[in-house]
Amino acid sequence: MQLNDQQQALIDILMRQNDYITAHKLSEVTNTSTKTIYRNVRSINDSSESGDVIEAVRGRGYRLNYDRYIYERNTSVDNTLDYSPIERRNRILLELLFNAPFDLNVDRLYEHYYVSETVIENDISLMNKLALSFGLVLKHRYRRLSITGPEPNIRQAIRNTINKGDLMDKESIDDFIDDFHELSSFDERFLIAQLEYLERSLKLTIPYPYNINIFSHLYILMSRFREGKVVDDPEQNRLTADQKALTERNPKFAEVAREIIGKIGRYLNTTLPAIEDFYLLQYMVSMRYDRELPSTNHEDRLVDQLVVFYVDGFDFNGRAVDRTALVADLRNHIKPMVNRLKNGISVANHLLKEIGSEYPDELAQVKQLSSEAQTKFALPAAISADESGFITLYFAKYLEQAKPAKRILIMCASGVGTSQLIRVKVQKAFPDLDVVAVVSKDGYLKHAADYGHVDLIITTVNVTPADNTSVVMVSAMFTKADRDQVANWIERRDS
Amino acid sequence: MIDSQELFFMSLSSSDSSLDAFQTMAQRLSQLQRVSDVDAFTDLIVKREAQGLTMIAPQILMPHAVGSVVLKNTVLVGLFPTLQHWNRGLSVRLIVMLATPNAAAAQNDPQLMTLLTKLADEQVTEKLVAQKTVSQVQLLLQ
Repeated sequence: MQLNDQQQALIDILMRQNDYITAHKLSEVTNTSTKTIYRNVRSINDSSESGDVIEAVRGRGYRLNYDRYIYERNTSVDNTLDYSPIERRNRILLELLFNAPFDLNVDRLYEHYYVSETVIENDISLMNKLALSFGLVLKHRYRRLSITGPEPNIRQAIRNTINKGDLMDKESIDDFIDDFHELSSFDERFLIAQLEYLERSLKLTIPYPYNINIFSHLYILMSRFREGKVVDDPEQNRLTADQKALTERNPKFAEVAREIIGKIGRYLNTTLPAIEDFYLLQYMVSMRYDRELPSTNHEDRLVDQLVVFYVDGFDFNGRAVDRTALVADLRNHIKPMVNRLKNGISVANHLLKEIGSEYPDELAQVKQLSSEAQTKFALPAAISADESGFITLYFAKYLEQAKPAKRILIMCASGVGTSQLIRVKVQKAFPDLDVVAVVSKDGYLKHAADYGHVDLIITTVNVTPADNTSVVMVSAMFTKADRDQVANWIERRDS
Repeated sequence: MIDSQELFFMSLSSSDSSLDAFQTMAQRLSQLQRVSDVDAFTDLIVKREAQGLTMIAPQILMPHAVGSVVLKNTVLVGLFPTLQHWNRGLSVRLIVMLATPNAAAAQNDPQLMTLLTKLADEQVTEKLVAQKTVSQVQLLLQ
């Protein structure tokens, strides 16, 4: 099942909805015509092999068949025919970059994509522009393509191309390996052993996504030396004063980096230039660790200023968040981020889309602050949308925590028996809800005021509260359908 | 561990309606000197069922009554030899009948809460209806 952005957006809405939603309403939410909705629904259902992913009921609208959607998503075949033009160009560009400066035959590059000569011409001209933006040159001669340019630029281009597109939509190293079939199981085991060695010798764990970042860096490094030809340029191999200073400030890291590069060199049966030690070191100082790392005062000042800038600039909408904890948490993230900006390292945030749809206002605020911060603090690079997405998660976390617990009453005819049982089940399923009391219907109607403000009544019997308090009727079993009803109410209340 | 003074078990024979079963169990509660008036008690149980089914899990019904005809907090568990099919599409294998003199007496009863916590666990309720004999059910709940 291959979905375009519009179709994916449709699925995302239906996924959050849980109940039927009309085409009219969908067209309002997505800002498209109902015709577009009909067409997208049909096209999504047509591409499913196990039946309709979006079910329609006359008079009620559409609903997502979640099980089927998950099934389809997990079984869709990875077929080169399914690549979008952008993905196709990215994949070809990657192949050229890995092989740089060697040339490759155009027909071989395109043999699996079944596209016309015009499309290929168009691809080449677009890839040429991409290459130029990285300071590289794409050469096209006698139906052969090659890329030339300085090694750091080639690596940067590879990293960016992998991060872009869906190539880096990875949640784990396993996902990364799945997508790079060129990686043999020997390489895979060898690289994972290097990561483990790194963690062991520095006595720390590398959290997501930095583990993938280092893994892909090492993978790119190996591929470059194996498939392409890294030009031995003494000029590039010399460390600048800044680079030397960074190495000297982190002697333990530098030592481990040197050891790992040495091992990779032996694995490839070659000697890797000393600058590779530094490239790896850059990654190592740009990760978030689970414990504080020593750093210089100058860096700390910038980090503190940035954290204060974000927290002061963010509009919490009157909610009382735990600022001290937020500042401490954010500091641990911003510190390696500053290192990433300095070292030109980008991280992919595969949650960015979800963050955008869950916390649109918060993300917009953070993006705005990020762009202001770049000018205000003269940062060496722009804070990318991916980075802003990570920062948004910290704000979202503390905003969620600051929400007052919802007060719930549980009711049945007598306040004994089934309602007591439901209390146990509600507390298990929704630990964040504050179950104020278990009441009988009569008891509640006579003494409603005794329970103070109540957000929701979960009841097994019919009741109409005088003050319009929300009511969710459930069965005494408190089944999954009942749980979903309560969850829906919470979601509606939260939004 | 639930106090045996409060929790009782019995096997039920197949019956045509829920009312038959409720009456049989009410009589047993009366023999145990927990209920003073069998008919009044059965009436309370039936009225409660009319307000909404008390199925707490597949095949498990939890009828309950609160009133002065009840002399002491009591739970009586009855097991049918086979699945019973009654009106309103009701399919029942196990009845957990709750009797209590007043709501406060039930809400503050730790032993009753322990039992309810067990019954809130789907793994337990699934096991319960898979049992063949009352003593097996007793083992699971005590």
